[in-house]
Amino acid sequence: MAERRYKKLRTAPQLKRLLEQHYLAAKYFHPGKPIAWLTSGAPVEIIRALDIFPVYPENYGALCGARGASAAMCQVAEARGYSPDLCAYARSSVGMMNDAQHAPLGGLPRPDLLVTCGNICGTVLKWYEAAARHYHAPLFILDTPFIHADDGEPTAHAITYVAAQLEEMIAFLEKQTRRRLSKEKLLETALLSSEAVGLWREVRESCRARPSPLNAPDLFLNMAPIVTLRGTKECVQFYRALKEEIAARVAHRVSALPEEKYRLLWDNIAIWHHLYRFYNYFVEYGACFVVDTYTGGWAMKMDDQREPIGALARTYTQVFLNQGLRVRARDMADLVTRFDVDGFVMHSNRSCKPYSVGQYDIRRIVTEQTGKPGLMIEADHSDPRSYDDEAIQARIQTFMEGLKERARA
Amino acid sequence: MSLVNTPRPKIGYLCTYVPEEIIHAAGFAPVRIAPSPAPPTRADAHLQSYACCLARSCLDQALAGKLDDLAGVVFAHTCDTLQGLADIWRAAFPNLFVETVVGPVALNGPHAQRYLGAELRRFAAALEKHFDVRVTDDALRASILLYNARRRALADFHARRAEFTTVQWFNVMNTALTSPPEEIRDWRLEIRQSPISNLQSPISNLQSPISVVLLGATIYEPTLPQILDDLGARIAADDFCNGARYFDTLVAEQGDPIEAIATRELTRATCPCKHRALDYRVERVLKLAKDNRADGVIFYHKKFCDPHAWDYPPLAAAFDREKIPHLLLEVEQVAPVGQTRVRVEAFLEMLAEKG
Repeated sequence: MAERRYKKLRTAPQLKRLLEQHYLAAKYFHPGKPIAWLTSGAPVEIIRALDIFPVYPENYGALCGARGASAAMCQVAEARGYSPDLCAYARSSVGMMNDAQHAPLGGLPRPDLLVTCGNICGTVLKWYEAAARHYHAPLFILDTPFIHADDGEPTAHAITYVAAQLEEMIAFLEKQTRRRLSKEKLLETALLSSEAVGLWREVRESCRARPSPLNAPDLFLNMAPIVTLRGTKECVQFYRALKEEIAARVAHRVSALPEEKYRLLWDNIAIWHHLYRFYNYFVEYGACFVVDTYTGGWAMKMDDQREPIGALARTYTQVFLNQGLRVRARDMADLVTRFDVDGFVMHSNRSCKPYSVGQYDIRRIVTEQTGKPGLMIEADHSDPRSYDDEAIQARIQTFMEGLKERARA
Repeated sequence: MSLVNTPRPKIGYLCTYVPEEIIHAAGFAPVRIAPSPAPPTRADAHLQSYACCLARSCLDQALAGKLDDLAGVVFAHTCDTLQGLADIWRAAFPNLFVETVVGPVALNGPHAQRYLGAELRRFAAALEKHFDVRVTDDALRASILLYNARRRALADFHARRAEFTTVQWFNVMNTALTSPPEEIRDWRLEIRQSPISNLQSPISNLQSPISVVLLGATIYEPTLPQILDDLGARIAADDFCNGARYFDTLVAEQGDPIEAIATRELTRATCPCKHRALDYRVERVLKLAKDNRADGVIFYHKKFCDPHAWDYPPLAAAFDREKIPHLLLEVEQVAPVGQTRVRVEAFLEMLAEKG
C-alpha cells in the first residue's frame, strides 16, 4: 500500500469524522435548514449566519476524483452534450445530477438555493446555471471583478460593487428563507472563519521547518474543513488540534517523509485520482512538497469588525485566483524563498484554465527571480482519462535527476 | 495585420465588449485582432494546447511581430482563457499599453450599471494617462455617432442578407471590424448604391430552399460560408461576436456618453460569458431561429471555448423541444474542408427531406 509511506496524523480520524458528519447531515439531517450549493470562494459566513446548510459541489468533485468515480460521472454529462474539455468537477457534478443512483454517496442533496461567486473561475457561472435549470432552484451570482493590477489591489468601485451585491445577496437569502440576518451572528461566524483560516495558515507556515511535518497529500486532505466547514466551531476545534499535533512534529523534528532530501513547491489543484501514487514518485527521491499555492487560497481577514460587509467584500475579491499573473508570480516566488524549496512543480490542469493559463510565464518569472527550476506536469484534477502515467514518471525522473545534479554542484 | 490605412494610431482588441467609442474618442483607431489560419508556434511557449485557437493565434501573431503597428491591446473581461491571455500579453510586451476593461458578469444586477460606468471611466483615464491625451464628452459623442452609423450600416446589410452569398456576408463583417469606422460610412453607401447583381454569387440564394442559423463565438475563416454557398444554403441569422451580436444594439446618442456606452454593454445580445437571466440566451437564440423561419441550426464551436460549450446542451435541448434540427461542428483552428462539407451536406439533405 502506497499510503504506508505517509505518517498518518493523529487528527486523521477526527478529520474523517468531521467530513463524514458534514455529508451525512447534508443528506439526511439538517432540521429546518435549507440547503444551499455554493462555490468554494463564496462568502459562506452569510450563509451560515442565516442558518442555511452549505454544500460544496467542488469538494464533491474532488471526492469523485479521489474515489475513482469521476470518469463515469463525466461520461454521464458527456452523453448529455457536455464537452469533455469542460472542467471535470463540473462534469462530475452534472453527471451526478443526472445519475445520482450511481454517484458517490448517492449524490449531493438537492439544493434549495444556489450561490455562485466568480472569484475562482468563469466555469462556476455556467455550472450553476446548469444546476439552476436542472433543479429549478433560485440562483444568486456574486460578481467579483478580476484584479489585473500589479499590486493586487482591487479598484474602489469594484469593492463598492461587491459590497452592494453582498447586501443584495443578504436580501435575496432573507427572502428565500423568510429569515432575518443577525449582524451579531454574521460577525460571530466571520470571526470563527477568520480564526480557522488563521490556524490553518499557522499549520502551513510550520512546514517551513526542516524537515517539513507535512507533505502535499496532507495539505490537500487537511484543507477540506477550511472549504466545507469554514465559520463553524468544529472547524476551529479541528485546526486547533491539528496545529498542536504539527507543532509537536516540528518540536521533535518529525518528518512527513521517511527522509526529506528535497523540498518542493506545488502549484495548482491536486491530482485527486492519483493522489498517493503521484506524490509517491517524489517520495522515492526523498522529495517533499512543503508548500503549495492552492491550500492557502482561503483567506478571511476581519480587518474591521465594525464593518463585516466591507471586510467580506475585500476578502472575497482578493482571493489569489482572482489575481493577475504578476501577483501570482510574486506570491509564488515569495513562497519559494520563505519555504526554502529546491524547485517547484506546476500541474497544468486541463480542468482549470484560470489557474493554468499563464503558468508558463509564471514558471519563467519565478525561475528568473529565485534561480529554482520548475517542472510542468499536464494532467487533470479529477478526470483520470487524460493522465499519462509513463510520460509523467519520465518527466519527474528527469526533473529529479536535475535537482540531484544541482545539489552536487 | 492587413488593415485599411488610417492616420490614427491603432489599438487592437479581441472582443466586442471592448468599448471602441472610448478608444476612438482618445484619438485611436480600434481594430479587431483576428486569428490567422497559420498554426501557432511561438505562442506555445506561453499557452497550453488546451487554450482556444483564438487566444493562441492572436498571441502568436503578436510574438511574430505582425502586430507591431498597434499602440496597444485592450481586453474585456469575458472567459478564463482571455483573462489569462491579457496578463501574458502584458508580460510579453511590457512597454505596450495593455489594459483590461473588467466589466460585470451578472448584467442584470441593480449595481452593474454604476460599476461599469466607473470601470469605463477608469479605462478612459488609463488611456489619457498613458498616451497623454484627453477623452472629452464631445469626442465621445462624436465617436458614438460614428460607431452607431457603422452598426446601422451593418444591420441594414444584415437585413438584406438574403440578397448576398454567405461568403459575401462573411467578408463584409470581417472587413468592417478591421476597418476604421469613418470608412464604413462610405462602404454603407457603396452597398446601397451597388447593383445587386454585382454582389450576387452564381447561386441565387433567394431561390434556395434551405436556411440555417449559425451560432458560435467568432467566425474568421470562410470554409463554412463557402460550403454553405456551394451547397446552396443561406444564413437565416447568426449569433457571432463578429456577426450580428456586434451591431444588434446602439448606444444612446443623448445623455452622459459613458453611461450610454455602459447601458449598451448591459443590454445588447449577450455572450455566454455573461449572465442576464437564466434562459435569456436560450430564448433569444430560439427566437432568432423561429422568427427567421430557419430550417436548422449549425453550432460552429471552437474547441476549448468553454462558455459556448456550456451553452450547447441547454440550446440543443431547446431546439429539440421545438423540433428544429441542429448540427454541432467543433473546429480547432481551421475547419477541415472535406469532413465539414460531408457533415454539412448530410445535415442539409436531412433538412431538405424534412422540409
